[in-house]
Amino acid sequence: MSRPTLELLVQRHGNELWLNAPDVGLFTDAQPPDGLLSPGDAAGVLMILGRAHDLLVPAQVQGRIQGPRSELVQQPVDYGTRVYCLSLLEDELSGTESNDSPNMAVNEKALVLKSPQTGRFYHRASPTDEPFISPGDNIDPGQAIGMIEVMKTFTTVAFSPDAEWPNRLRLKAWLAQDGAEVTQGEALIELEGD
Amino acid sequence: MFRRLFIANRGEVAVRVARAARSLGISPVCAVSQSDRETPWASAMDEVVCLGPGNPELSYLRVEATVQAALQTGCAALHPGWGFLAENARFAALCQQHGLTFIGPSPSLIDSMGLKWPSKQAARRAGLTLIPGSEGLLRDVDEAVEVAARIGYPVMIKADAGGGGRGMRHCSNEKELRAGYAQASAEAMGAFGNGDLFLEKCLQNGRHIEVQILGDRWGKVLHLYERECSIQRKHQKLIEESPSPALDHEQREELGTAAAQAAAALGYVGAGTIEFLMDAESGDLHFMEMNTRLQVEHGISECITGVDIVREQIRVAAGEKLEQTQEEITVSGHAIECRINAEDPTQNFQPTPGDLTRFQIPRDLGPGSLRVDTHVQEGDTIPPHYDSLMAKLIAHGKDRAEALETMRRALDGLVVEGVTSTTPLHQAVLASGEFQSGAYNTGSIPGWTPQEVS
Repeated sequence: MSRPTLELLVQRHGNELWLNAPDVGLFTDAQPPDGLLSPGDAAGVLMILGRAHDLLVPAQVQGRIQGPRSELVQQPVDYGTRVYCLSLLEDELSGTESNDSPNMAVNEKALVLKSPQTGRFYHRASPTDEPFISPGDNIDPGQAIGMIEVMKTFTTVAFSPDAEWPNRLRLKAWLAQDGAEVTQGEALIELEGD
Repeated sequence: MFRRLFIANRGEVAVRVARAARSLGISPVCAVSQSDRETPWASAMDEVVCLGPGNPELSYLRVEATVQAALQTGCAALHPGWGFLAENARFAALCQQHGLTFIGPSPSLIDSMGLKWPSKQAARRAGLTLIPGSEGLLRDVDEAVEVAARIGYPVMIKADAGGGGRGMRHCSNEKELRAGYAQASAEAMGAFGNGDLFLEKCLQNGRHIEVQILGDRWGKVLHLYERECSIQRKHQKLIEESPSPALDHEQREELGTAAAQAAAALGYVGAGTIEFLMDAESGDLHFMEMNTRLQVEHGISECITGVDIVREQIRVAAGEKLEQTQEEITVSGHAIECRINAEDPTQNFQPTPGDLTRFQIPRDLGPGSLRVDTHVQEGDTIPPHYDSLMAKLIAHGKDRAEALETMRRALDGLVVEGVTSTTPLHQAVLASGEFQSGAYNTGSIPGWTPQEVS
């Protein structure tokens, strides 16, 4: 039986990449300074309630470990505590830049419905229900397309198209996933006309 | 006594628990989410441990991470506050297994009070009156019809494992009951994996009256009299007062004694609340449920009795004895609490997270005293992840009239800008004849015309 694993969190900081603890626990077996870390490498262990979890280097992260090694054995860390600082290799600098914006690129002319509020967006009325709409469905003005949860209160998101949009519209794609945290004005769905 | 206490909660209750801890010389350590990390209330703790992102499921509701955080910060005890993990028996058990004192009753007591029917059975064994209804869980729909015919319609069918209104049906006649039974059972099965139902007479326009309990490990149980919580919207309390205007001196003593005896029969340790529904017609008080934790509205009981409930919770968890006797606990004056929420009462109580550009509470307008329990300050952002409570105004006067006048002045002087608050609702309720006379119930909010926009 293999040990449970957790992926380190990545934070870009100038020319450095920080690898942060993904959970609360005791960090131990740190990799020594000047070593290289590559995607999939085990880079230490996090003990959570006595159980060891291997910490893995996430995809697209590569670099040389900088700075002094932690003096502590079983160092207490919380969610987001920096455990490694990597100096990026020159050729990676350009590559990682484009990963900064996680949002899917939506072209300017796309028909998107934006979130009326900041909160959590759901595709369905309850976990056991079908989604309100599916890609390919026709959507009429006023129709429910999802729910937003703000402070434990659920509000239906009704479809209100812009005046200049075509009359008949279909759901092209979900831009905010089921259960995603969205901010006001963030694109929720993309539509297409005939 | 503990040296360090872990607070597994956030916001207002975290601040309240930290204050009690410091008064006992205990250092407060608090769980935070990423979005709470930089808040003024979090910086007032001795140490914080970040459990995860703002979404509570990824932070404040994480059982293992919370216990690990308390252990690695050297805490000997954990206070769960209210909400989140406060009534999670498995969490309480996990704390104990790892040598952390859980500040609350035993896991098995939390568990039995969490299920509706076992808690009612326990309450009946302990001598409390139940709402008329079925003698246990229903075998089938025919038994439900039989019981309903005996006690009279309207009735409520409720799920044993129920919560949040699921598995619950209001039935005015046999036809509705036959239709509702199968639906409620299926709904409860789907939501909780347990389709068991029971049936109760539907008591309309009752009053919600609850008794504050404190028990120690040495078998002593005290009551701190009752709180009247009938001003509610969708089972969310808005205004509470103590003592209740619906009880006279004799009824008050009788109810408090009955609740304390019931809690003693359960072997209750810590702070708890027994909730009763007062029948509008008979005036009888029926057991509804027991909450095995600190309640939001505990402050009004503290005002009228002078007992620091949170401090006592921590003390009894450490094995110390409750020092006072029941005779020493007396009602002094009257207290009322208004919850100032970031909600728009004119727009169906829509939450209004955002930037709190102005937030000023005048505390010296008299004639009584004003206590303010809050974790927010001017310039804060009210995040969308959590409940909408911003502050609790607690007015204490020598009698009910003085408490009301103190609250009226505080509400008139309150400045909240940037987010919409429930202040106008409180002003309207306090101005209503029903509230002033004390003749109100859970059926409606006096002085406030519902403008429910769907």
